Amino acid sequence: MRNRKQLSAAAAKVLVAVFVFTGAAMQAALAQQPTAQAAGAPPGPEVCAACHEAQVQSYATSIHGQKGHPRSPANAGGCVACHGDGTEHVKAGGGRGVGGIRNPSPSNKAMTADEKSQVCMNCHSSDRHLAFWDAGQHKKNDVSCSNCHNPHTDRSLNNDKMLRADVPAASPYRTTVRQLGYETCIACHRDLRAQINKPSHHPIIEGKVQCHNCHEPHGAMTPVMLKAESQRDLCLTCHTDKRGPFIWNHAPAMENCATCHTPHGSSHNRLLAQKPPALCADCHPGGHTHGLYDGRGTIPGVNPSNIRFEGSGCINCHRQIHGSNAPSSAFGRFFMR
Amino acid sequence: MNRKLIPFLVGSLFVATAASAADEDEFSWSGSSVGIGVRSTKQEGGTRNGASATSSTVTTAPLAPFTGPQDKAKINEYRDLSDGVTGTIDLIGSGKQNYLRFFGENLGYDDQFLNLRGGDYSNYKYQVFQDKMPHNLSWGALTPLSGTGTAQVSVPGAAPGNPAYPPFQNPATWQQFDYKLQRQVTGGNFDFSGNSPWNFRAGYNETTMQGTRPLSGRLGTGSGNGMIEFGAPVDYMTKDATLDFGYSVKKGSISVNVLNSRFSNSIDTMQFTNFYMQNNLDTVYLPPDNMLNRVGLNATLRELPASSTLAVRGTWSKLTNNFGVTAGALLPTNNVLNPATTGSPAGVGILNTNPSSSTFDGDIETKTASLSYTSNWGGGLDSKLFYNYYDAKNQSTLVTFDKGGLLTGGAQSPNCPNPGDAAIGTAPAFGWPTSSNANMFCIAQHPNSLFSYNKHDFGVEGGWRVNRANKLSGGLSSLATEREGREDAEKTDERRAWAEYKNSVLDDLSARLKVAYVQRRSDFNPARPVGQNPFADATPAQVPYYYRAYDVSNANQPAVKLVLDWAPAPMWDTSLEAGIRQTNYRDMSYGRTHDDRREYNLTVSYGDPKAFRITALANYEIVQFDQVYRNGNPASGASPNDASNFDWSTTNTQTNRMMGLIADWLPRERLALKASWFWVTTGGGVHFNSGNTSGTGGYAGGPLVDYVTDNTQKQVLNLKGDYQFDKQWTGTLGYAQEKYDYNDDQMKGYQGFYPYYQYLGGNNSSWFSGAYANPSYRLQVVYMTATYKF
Repeated sequence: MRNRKQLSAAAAKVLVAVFVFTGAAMQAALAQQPTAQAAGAPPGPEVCAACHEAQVQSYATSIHGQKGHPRSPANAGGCVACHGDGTEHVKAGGGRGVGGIRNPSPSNKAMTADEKSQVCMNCHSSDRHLAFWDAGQHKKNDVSCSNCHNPHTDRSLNNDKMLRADVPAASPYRTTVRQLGYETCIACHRDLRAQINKPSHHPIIEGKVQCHNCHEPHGAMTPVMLKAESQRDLCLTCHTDKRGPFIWNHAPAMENCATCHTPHGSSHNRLLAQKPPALCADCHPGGHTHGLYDGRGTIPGVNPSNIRFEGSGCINCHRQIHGSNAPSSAFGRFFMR
Repeated sequence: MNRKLIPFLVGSLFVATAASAADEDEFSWSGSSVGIGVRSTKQEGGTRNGASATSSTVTTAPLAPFTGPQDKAKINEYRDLSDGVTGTIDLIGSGKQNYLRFFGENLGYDDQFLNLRGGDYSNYKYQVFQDKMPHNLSWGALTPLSGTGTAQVSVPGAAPGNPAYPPFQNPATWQQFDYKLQRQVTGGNFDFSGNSPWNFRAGYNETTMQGTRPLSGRLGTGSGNGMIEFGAPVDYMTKDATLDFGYSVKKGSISVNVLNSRFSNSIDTMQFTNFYMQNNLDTVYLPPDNMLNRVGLNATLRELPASSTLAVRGTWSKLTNNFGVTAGALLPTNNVLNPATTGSPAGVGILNTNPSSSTFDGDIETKTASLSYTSNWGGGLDSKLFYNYYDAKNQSTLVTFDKGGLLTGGAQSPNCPNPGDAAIGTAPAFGWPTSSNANMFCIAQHPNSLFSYNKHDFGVEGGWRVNRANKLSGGLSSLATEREGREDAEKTDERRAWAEYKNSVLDDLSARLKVAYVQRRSDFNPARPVGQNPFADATPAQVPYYYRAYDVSNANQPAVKLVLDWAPAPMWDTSLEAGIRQTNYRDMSYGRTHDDRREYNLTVSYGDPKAFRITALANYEIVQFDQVYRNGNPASGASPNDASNFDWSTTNTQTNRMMGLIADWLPRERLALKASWFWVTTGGGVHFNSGNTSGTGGYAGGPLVDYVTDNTQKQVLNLKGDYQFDKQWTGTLGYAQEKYDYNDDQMKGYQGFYPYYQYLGGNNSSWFSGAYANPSYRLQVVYMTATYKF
């Protein structure tokens, strides 16, 4: 016990030392970075507004247009901070891409995704939530910031993140007027449009669960950019009643929830990947003497019905399938109480 | 906290407004809006139309028609559609230094959402929120038991010796209740950076879940004895507190984060009527309290040689709980009726299972480490090396029970009393059952199994951008899993390879083709302990010896995916996505042998969203699982089929089709119209094949009948118009219609032949509540909203 305390104390000291050292090193590095260049002669928002009134208006009311923020484009020349020096663009009388104007919108094929993202990263690279951007799947798959965000979009309806919703979404009548995160994600993840409309689904189309509640679109170390270290850890963030620890464990439930559940949508209740008893029979063939089919007919109502097929199937009896604390193997080990 | 939240939010608004007034710049509420409206709905739920039966076959006794209550739960599954006044508040305030945002909707409804955000642009920000969500599972359920939603559901008339067994045969006399849950998350967080690279964040939230959910228990000793379904109480609370402290600059970042999460359940156990138990009461154990502590370290170093970035993450967490181990397991009878033909099953005693520990200390320690090193080598070359380590160690109490096992005809433990001995433990009134099968609960010592595992996942990925319009990528990885406490496969290795080609040579066409291959191999132990006795290894004479659990069985899995985006003409956009994935399970005789998943998505769009645009979408998905089983024992993979011992198989098919049309139209400057219609259907079921060719092809003369599962059809129509009267006022008028039909042969046990009360003959009666039996519904919604923007 004493050794464990000493070990913990030592680990804490090492952690603090690493933290302080790394922080100090970075602080020194920061001090060496050149400061932002003062705005020169490039045309500012008042000039751009002559042709791009709506964009300048949205810029002015967004955080980008606030001079109170030291890092905002408003303190770096306004439009020029993201779109580059527009002098030649203005001289040429405007036009898409004319005069070397920089347009990081998704439709611009003249810039790579990295180049587009770099426009944003000039200011946002040190944002905490972008720490794992380089390690994530979106960067690797040529997704740029502007694929999801549009700094000139309407910020009303709680759309503080300025998300795009360019591809129409199909959903039942919903009680929320908010723009929802999935409306951005389905632009690329089109298969999910059907998944989240299946009879059993997380309340994504209802706006009570957002894609970013589970996934970190700005990059993560975990496969499929989960917000936790494993899928199970992620699920247990909300489903805290399934954490246990239980006297009797169901091993697959402790290792991977996706063994039985499919999180984006299912035809079957509780997001099950198959309907019991077929799902359970994928691992349990002979727990009952003759397996599922014991010669009494297969579906309920047939002479006579087989209760193992009926209703919730195996779950009718094995209700505590995630784990049990019943004090015997008769009930606990088989998750019946 | 719930009651305090709204005053707090209002107070915060005043404080923030005062702060903003101090802002040198004028604080502007430009863009804010307030909306008020009314909503009226017409809801019609499906009924569980059926009949109660008093015989095991429909031909030997007439069915008594019975119409159950409507179930409107699916309409309201995650939304509160009550008629009434609706409101939305969206306040957007910003000044030179401060900003404030308050958004609230569905005020006073079960799906109310409130969110307050604010802060100083350069120093700090905060958020306070509350999000309510109903989760309606099944309404209009029926039960003969009283006390639904409490820690005991029972009927007074179910005392031992009740001469009218089985009781409660007429569901018309039962009590009606709803399976529904209400979730509420209330919390807040505060970020402080002080306009420096240092940042600090603290967060706290409480999540409550309250209501009633379905639970059921088998009756008697075997799964053929029928069951009883009832409403179980849910009263959960989870409190999460987080701290995050970090330093972040362009060249890198480091942060430490801490989480403390406590789950508590106000009801740990509940009792329900079980006619086979002492005093007719049985016990079920509900989710235990727990506490999770987690510490994490994240660090990133950028701008390393070759434009590389090193990212690392390490976490340590411990999940703990503590509770007393109940010694007395209720002991069922062997279905003995008392009196022999009409009486209730004989209630019996409590079996002292003699656990080796009176308390259980749950303790699962998890350690993870992740590393990623990404590089851009120039010339369009990039690479990524990654490694993920995950170790979950279950260090909970090992509890050994002397009795309470389950073994048909097994040998008794020397410590186990004989049937007929005096009462054991604290049960005063009942002795051991006289049944010869009572000793099935009286076997040798059996411990719980503490499952632990670790995973090592490492790999390399590379990409080559040949030119601006062509890119090749690929990757190799390996995932090794080691397990303790799962005897069938203690080690699994999974190797993955993938390659991808992207092409956007043509201005109006881009394509992406990805192929992947996964190979999984496990060290499988066919002689693992199986069946009902935890100490008996499977032998070659048993089916389980040849069976493989699908999540660990050896398999090869090829997959291919194609994505095309095509804009054939101005204002036309088309996208096609097709994916196929097959899994071929191998080195096995029984279990899941094959699965096949195919999915196709098509979107065609025409028009300009600023004038008129119409979008058509379609999806088709089919998933097929093949399984092979063996009927009879002994068996072997090579045994021929005969009337008693034969292979049988299923093909389980699931389909999903979706079609939709969405139109956006701005016919006038001030008028915006939107219409959408979509149709979704799910289909499929189970198809049986049998190797038994005698008689009707089934075992013991029973028929093999294919059946459908979760066949649904849903149609949704949404019409909405927004008219802007002036710069301030906008009116919205909308109409929605939904139609949902459900068909599932497994649920016909409720609604077709044996609704609610089911009599299977002898002592095998069941009492169902009708949960999820028929969620079909019809819905019409009309709503109007007036929105003022300032």
